Amino acid sequence: MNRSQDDLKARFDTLLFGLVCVLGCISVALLYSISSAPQQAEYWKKQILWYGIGLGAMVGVTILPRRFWYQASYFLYGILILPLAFVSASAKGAERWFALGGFHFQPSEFAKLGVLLALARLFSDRRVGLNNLKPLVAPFVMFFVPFILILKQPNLSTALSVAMVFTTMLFWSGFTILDLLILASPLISVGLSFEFTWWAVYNILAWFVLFQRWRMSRLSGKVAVVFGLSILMAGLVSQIAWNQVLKPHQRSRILTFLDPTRDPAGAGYQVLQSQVAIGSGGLTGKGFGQGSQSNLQFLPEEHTDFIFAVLSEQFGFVGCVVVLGLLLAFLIRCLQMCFDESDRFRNLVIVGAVTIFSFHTIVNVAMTLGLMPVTGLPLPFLSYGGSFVITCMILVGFLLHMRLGDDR
Amino acid sequence: MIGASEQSDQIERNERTWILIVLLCVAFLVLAGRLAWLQIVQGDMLLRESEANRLREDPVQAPRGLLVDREGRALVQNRPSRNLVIDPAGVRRHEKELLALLVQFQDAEGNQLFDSTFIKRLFRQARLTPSQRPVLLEDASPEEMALFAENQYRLPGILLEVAMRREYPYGTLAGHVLGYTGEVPEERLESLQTQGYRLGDLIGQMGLEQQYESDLRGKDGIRWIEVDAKGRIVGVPDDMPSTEPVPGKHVRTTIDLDLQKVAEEALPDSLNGSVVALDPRTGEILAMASSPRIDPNIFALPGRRRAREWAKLALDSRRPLNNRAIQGLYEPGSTFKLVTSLAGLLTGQWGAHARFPATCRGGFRFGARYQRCWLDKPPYHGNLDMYGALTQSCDVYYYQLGLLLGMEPINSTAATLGLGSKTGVDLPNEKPGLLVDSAIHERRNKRLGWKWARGLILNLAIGQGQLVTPLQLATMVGGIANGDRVMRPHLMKAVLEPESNRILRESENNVLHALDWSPKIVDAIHGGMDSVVNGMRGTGRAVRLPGIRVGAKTGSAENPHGEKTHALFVCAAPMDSAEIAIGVILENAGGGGAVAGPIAAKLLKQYFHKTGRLPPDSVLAAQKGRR
Repeated sequence: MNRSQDDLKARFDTLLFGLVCVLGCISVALLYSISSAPQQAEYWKKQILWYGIGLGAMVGVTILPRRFWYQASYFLYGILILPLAFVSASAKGAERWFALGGFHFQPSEFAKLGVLLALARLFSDRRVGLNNLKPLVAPFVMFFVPFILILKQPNLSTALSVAMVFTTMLFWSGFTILDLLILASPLISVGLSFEFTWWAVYNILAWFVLFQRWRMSRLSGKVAVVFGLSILMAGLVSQIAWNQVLKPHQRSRILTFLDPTRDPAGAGYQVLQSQVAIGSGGLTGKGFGQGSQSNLQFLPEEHTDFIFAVLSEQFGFVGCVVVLGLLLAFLIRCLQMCFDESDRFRNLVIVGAVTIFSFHTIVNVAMTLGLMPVTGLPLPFLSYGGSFVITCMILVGFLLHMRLGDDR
Repeated sequence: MIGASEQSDQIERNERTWILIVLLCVAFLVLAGRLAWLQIVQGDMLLRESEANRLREDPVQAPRGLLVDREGRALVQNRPSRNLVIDPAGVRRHEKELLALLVQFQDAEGNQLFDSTFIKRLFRQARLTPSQRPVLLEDASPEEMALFAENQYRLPGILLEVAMRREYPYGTLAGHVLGYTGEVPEERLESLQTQGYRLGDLIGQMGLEQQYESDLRGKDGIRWIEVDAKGRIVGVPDDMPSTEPVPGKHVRTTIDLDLQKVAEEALPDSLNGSVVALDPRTGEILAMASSPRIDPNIFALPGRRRAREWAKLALDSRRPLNNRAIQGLYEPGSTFKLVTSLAGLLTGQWGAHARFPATCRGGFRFGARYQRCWLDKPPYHGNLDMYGALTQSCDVYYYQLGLLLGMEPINSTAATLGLGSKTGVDLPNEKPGLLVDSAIHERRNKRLGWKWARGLILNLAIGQGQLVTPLQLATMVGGIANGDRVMRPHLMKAVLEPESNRILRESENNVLHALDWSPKIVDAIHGGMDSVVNGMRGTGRAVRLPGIRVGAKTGSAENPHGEKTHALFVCAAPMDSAEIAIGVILENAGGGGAVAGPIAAKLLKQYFHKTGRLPPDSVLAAQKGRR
C-alpha cells in the first residue's frame, strides 16, 4: 500500500487533538491559579509532567500496528486486572493506590482500559439481546470480576463507570433501551420500594411489559419470570435489609451520601462550599486567581474533584459554558467517528471511551453543582492526578489510533 | 462489497450513535441550566455568602476612660492582658479534636485547666452566635501562654487576643467609690445590645464605674479581616471600611488621694464604719471610705478565681459590698442635737443663753417616766445654756427643748440640712435615711399598733430614732459651717477628653438648700460647735488644732444589736469659713469623742498640713514638749 504524507495528515484528527490540548492548558492554568496556597503550589508543574507522560503514552498507543490492540486486548485485560486483585487482597480498607518503585498509581484507572478493550473484542463478534442470553455470559463475567474488585476497594464511582461502559456496549451491540430498562428493573424496584404506592404501580407496570414482551416473542418465558420475580424480591429484600439488617448509623450514612445537606458540617460542607464558589462567580467570574473560595481553602479537594468549582468561581457562567462546550465538542467529535467506521471492534472502543469520558464529566460537574451525591470522580482533562491524566491520554490515543489505523 | 445485513447493521448503529449524541446534549443542557441557576439567578446571594466566608468583623477594643483624683493621679488604670478566645468559624470542623486536646491541658499544680462541659458550652455558644468569640481562658499567665504557644499548630480556631483589663493600683483604697467593672450580665445583654454592648463586654457595676459608664466607655472600632477555611487570619482586606476605636473619656474625681489614704488608714479594718470628708463650699467629696473594704481588682480576676472571691464577699456577714458612706443607716445620736438647737434658734422660741427650769441631775422626769441623761453620776451637768448643753451634750437640756418645740420645726430644720432624703450624690443606690414625726411613727409601727406619744419627742430630740448616712452627716455639718447654704455632695469634678485631658464637662456645684439664717444664729451655733472642741468639758477635744478654729459635735448612739454604742463624730474647719467638713461613724465602737474623734482629727491634720496652715506632726510634738 502506498501512503502519502498528506494522507496521514488527513487521517490524523487535528480537531480532536486540538481540543485535548486546549483542555490540558486550561487545567494547568486553573491549577496555577490556586498555587498561592503552599500545599497546592506544585500541582500545576506536576500536571505538566503528567501531560508530558500522557502525551508520550498517547503517541505510543497511536502508532502501534493496526490489529495490535485487538489481539492484545485479553492479555492487557489480564495484566491490568491483576494489580487490582493484589491491592484488594493486601489492603484493609480504602487503599486505592498501588506503589511501584516510589511511584503511586491507581490500578483501577488502568483496569478500566483493560476492561474496555476486552469487552470491545468480545462484543465485536456477537449481537446480543435479552431474548438470547447465552452470548452474554462471557462479557458479563469479564465485566463482573473487575467490577467487584473495584467496588471492594471501595471505589464506587470507578466501579460505576465500568458498569456504564458495559451498559453502553450492550446498547451498542443490540440491546434496546427497553431491554436496558428491563435489565435495570430490579434496581429501580429497590429505589421505589420506600414508597409503597409507587412501588406497587411500578410492579404492575413492569409485569405487564414483561408479559407483552413474552407474547411478542421478544423474551423467553423463563427470562420474563426471572425478571418479574426479581423485581418483586428486590423490593421486599431491600425493605427488610433497610429496616431490619442495617443499623441506624449505616442508614444515616447512606442517606447522607444521597443527600449531603443532611450533614452541613461534614459531608454537606463540600457541596455547600462548592455551590457557593460556583454561584459567587456570577456571569463573568471574579477574575483569574481571584477566587476567594479556592484561595482560602473553603473548597475541599479543589485541585481534583472540585476543579470545576475553581473554574466557575474565576470565570463565571461564560467560562463554564465555554469549557462545557469544549468537552461536549470533544465527545461529539469522538462519536462522529462511528458514523464512517465499519469495524465493530473499533466502534466499540470509541463508544466505550466516550462513555468513560461522558460519565466522568457529567457526574463530576453534577456533583460540584449539587445535583448528585459526592462520589469522587475526577473531571477528564481538567482535574489534577497522574493516573487519571495518563489514562485519559491513553484513551485519546485509542481514539486517534482507531481513525489513523484504518488502512494499515 | 458490503453485505445487506452489514449495511442494515451499520444503519442501526448510526441510529444508536445519534441517540447517544442526543443523550449527551440533554445531559449537558441540564448542567448548563443548573449553572445558570446558581451563577445568574442565585449569583448575588452566593457571592455574599462567599464574602461572609472570607471576611470577619474583628472588634478593636476601645480603652476605657480612667478615674483620676482631683490632682490627676490615676485611681484606675488599664493594663493589657492576654485572653484565649474561640473563633467560631475556626473551630467548627475541629470540635472533637480540640475537645480531646484541651481537656489534657494542666496548670502548674497538675489541675485540669478546662473541663469538658465548659468547653462544650463554649462550642455551643460559638455555634449559636458565630459573630462573637467566647473566652476560653482569661488573663492567661506566662505559663499558660507557653502551653498555648507550644500547641498552637494543633489548636485551629483558638486565637490570642490582647484585651485591656481594669487595674486599681491602690487596691482597696476608695474601693466602694470607684466600683468595678464586670462582664455584661446575660439577662441584661438583650436590653443593652441596642447600645452596642456585646457578650463579654465590660460594664461598670458599682460606684463611679457604674455612674459614669457612658463617659468612661469608649466606642469599639471595627476592623475587617480575611480568614481562610480554618479561621486563620490571612490578611486585612484593603477594600473594606474600618472604623477606629474611640477611647472612653476620663473622669476627674473630687477625691484627694492623700486625704483618702489617711482616711483609709485611720479607719480600722476591725470595725465597720465610714468616714466622709467634703468641701462644704462646693460639695466636693474629698475622701470617702467604708469598712470593711473591697478590692475592685478581684472583679478583674479570671473567671473561677473571681467567682470564688465574689462569693466570699457576698456571703460575708459584715456585708463588705455595702458602701456604708451612702448605704449605711445609723441613728444620728447626739450629733442631731445641732439640729434641735438650730430649730430652737430658728423658730425664735428659744435663745442661746436661755436656761430651762429643770436642772440636769442625771435625768428628767416626764409624766410617769424618768429619762436619764448620759451622764447620770456626779458631777452632773447642772443647769446649762445652749453652749454648755452642746459642749457637754446634755440630754436633759434637749429633752426640754424638744418638748418645747415639737417635732415639726426640728424635722423641717433637719430636712433643710439634707437629712431624711437622698443627697443626690453621684453614686448609685444611695439610701435616703429617715426623719420621724407622729404620722411616720404610726405608719411605720402600724402592725405593732404603737401610737405616737409626746414622750417619744424626748428620744427624737437627742437623735434616737432617726436614720442618717455618714454622707448626710458630713453634708449637714458642712451646711451648718457654711451658715448660708447646703451643697449637694458630689464626686465628679470634670469629664476630660482622653489624651488631651481637655475639660469636656465640669460638674455644677449645686446648692441643695439655701439657708437664710441670721448672723446671730450662725454665730451661736458655730460658737456651740467651737466649744465642743475647745471648751473645758468639751466632748470633741480630739480635734483641737493649734491656730485653726474647729467646730464639732460628738455622738454615741445607742445600738440595739451590741453592748457598745455606735461612735459618731461630725466636724468642720475653719469655723469662720469652712473648707472641710467631716462625718465619721463607727459601729459598736464606743463613745464618739473618744473613738471617732481621733479619726476626724487625722483627716483634719492632713488637710491643713497639705495646705500649709499646720506644721507637720513632728514640729507640733516639739512645740508641745516645750510648753
